[in-house]
Amino acid sequence: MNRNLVRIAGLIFAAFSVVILYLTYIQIFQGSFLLNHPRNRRLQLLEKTVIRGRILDGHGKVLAQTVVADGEKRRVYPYGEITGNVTGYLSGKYGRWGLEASYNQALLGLESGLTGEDFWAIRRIDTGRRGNDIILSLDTGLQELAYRLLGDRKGAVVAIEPSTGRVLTMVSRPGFNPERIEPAWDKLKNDPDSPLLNRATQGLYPPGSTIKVVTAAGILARNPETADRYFDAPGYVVIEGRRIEDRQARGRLNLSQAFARSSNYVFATLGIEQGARNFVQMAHNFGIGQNIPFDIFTENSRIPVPEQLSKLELGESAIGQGRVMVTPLNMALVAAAVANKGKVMAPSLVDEIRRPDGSLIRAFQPRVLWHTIDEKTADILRQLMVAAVANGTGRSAAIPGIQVAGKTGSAENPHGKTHAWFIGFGPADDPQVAVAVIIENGGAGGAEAAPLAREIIKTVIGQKR
Amino acid sequence: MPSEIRGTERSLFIYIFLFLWLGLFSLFEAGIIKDIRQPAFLSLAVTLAMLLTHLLLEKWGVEGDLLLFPLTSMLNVAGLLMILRLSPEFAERQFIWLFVGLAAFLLTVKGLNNYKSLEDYKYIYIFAGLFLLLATILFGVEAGGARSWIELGIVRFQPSELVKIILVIFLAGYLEEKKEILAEGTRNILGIPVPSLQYTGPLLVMWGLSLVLLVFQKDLGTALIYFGTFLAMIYISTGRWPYIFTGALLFSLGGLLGYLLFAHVRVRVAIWLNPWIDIDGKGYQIVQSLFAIGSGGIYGTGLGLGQPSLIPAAHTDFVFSAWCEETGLLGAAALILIYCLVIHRGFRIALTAKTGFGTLLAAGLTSLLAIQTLVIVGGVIKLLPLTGITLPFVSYGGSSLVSSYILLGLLTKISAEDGA
Repeated sequence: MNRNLVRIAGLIFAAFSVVILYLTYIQIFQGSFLLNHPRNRRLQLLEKTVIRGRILDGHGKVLAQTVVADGEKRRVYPYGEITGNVTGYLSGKYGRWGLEASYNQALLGLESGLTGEDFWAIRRIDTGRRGNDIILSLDTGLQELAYRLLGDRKGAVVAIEPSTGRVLTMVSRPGFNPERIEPAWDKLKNDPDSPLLNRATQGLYPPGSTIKVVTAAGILARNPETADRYFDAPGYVVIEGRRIEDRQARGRLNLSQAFARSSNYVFATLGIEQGARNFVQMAHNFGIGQNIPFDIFTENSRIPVPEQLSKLELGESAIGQGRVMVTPLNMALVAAAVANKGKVMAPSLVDEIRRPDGSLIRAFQPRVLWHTIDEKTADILRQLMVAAVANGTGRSAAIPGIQVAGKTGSAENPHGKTHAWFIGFGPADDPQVAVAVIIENGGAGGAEAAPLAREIIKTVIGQKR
Repeated sequence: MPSEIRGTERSLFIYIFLFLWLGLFSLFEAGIIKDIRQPAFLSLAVTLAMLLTHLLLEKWGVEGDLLLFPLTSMLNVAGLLMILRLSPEFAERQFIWLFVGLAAFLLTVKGLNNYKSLEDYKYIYIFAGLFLLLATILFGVEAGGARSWIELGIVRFQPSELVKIILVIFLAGYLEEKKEILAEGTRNILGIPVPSLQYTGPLLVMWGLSLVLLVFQKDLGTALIYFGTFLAMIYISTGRWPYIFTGALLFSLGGLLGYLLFAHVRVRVAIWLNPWIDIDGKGYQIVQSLFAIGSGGIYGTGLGLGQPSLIPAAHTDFVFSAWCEETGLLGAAALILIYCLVIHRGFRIALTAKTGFGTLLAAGLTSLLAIQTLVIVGGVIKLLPLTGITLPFVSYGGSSLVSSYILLGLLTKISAEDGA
């Protein structure tokens, strides 16, 4: 009888172990989801007693803060729609979005759950009045500049510090003013231009010729001698019966010239040569089709699986016309990868979280997100991109006295004129900033997007000096 | 006192009182308790009552288990603090029930001459138990969806709580008497020894009847506890897995039948699998429970600093969720570990009992406590379907508390007589 008893006891203790394991799963791994669930009223109740922290840029400029007047709390966003896509909004009716959503806990002063920041609940009674401030890597001066330069055109600009992944600018137009989210909700929601869409992280566009950076990386990683190869470009390319015009790049070209003039013939050929598997693998290396961990909601770029790519589609994809769809943030990371010798640093918006008294809670730590290509390949790509700006399609991005590297794109799409793309970085020998610019239906990338990128790069370098 | 037989117990109580008074202080500091006088008076009464209980055990020379009573007192104190925190209007009642419980505990230990004598009157007990259940169905009042209370003047009590213990006593006696026959079987069906109906009959009838009664009362949680305890005891006495398999199969069949026949069972299962589809309706309770538990994180908000009042029925069925929110994973794990220790002591007593009846009784009572704890804790964390039963020693509820103390008394008695 005793043996049976011990077995039953073992069964019962095993069941208790399962309970503790499951409880651990809920309280640790599901904790954040459950605490931040929109239907969990705890944070709303707390919000009433806490003055939400501020969102600041690195120079101390306020992007969002809560003002108390006559006992009424109001959230103000001094930069309105210029930073609306980044700060997001806060509404009792429509929930939270952007940094207001993803850093809700920090802004409410709950860095480690409801316990308060240093585990001891008792602290919360004393200092729970003000939430914590978050300080962004964003430069509002640069943000304003990019916003102004985009003008009335729809599009996005992303600028990243390649060595760290810190996001310096992230603009999306048309924007929205978070202060007026509640009265304007229906209008914003139904606007065909989708102002609530953060184009920088959620906009999915065909990459156009900017993908040729990836195509080139794919062939160079496999076959470095390609750098010295010559091609006889006929001025068009025929893949499986489909003819794509290519007038700007005709004659005998080496790889650098082909890249600078954005030869569809050469890159479609190189794409087919490396094969679907290699091409898709390299695109994955650059984050296309992968999840990009980021501070605010980010869409994944898309690419078909290699088995689904016919020869025609592979050729098209290699010049940015197939079913490949990318976000501007992703393309900025592609440029940053080349700038940072193949290593992509995880993109980040928040530099620091500080208590109301100014003391530091958490500081940003750069980390390598992906290893894309080796240093040698990155070096060849950099030279290709420098040549594209020095004497290729990207000439309007050139800055006197500074080497800029880049690639233009004019992505065909079903909605009219091509989308104007430019991705690049500068200075080429010591990259301070990597940019991606897209202007929807803007026309040619070289004429429309490149000048905008030039201004961003120039301003960042000017500030650093 | 010259002979210190329960010295360990006394030193353990220091921590329990420390916990009680610090908890009270925390609740006061957090602003939950506005007027400290009544809670302080009640806590003083509890401190004295527990101390008195201990001294009486000492005086009577009860040489039973020295850890059980402190462990359950710890659970009880945690429960009292939660009730003071969640529904102070019920606190006074619960404290009074605690005194009744302690009295029942002492009465069981002292009043019962010899626990083995329980075996002699087992049929009387079981008929009394069945009668109580029947009375509940006929004259019971409904509260919280289950028709399981009997109203006696100002007091309302839940017979099924007491019947649980009666059932275990009966089973222990019956199984001890018939275990050879049950283990050997008199016939073989498909290689499984099957005792003839004459021996299994009373068992099956009793089990079926209690299940039927519970179906009428719609008290699924209690049915699960009855049945689980029943299976555990049968296995312990016969060592035959086929009983367990057959039993589990029967229960699953019953469950399936219930699922097919009753809409409320289907809803319950659907809510268990995915409560998020109906957050405001049927899934409300469990979702609120999960919100509370998840919001507690590792360290919890601290006593009195969470928002457990957002959970419905927080002081009864969901007291564990409230505890999780305010004490975090650490507090929850501590509570579960205390239960494990209680269960460990219970099984130890079963192992050292000198008679088969004693072993079965102690093991049955311990299994009962363990299964009840697992069913309710598993329910509020969504590991099992949610059922409305109490967490032993912690939840608000007089019948549950008193019967838990009787259970404790029986375990102590067995250990005192047979020595550990």
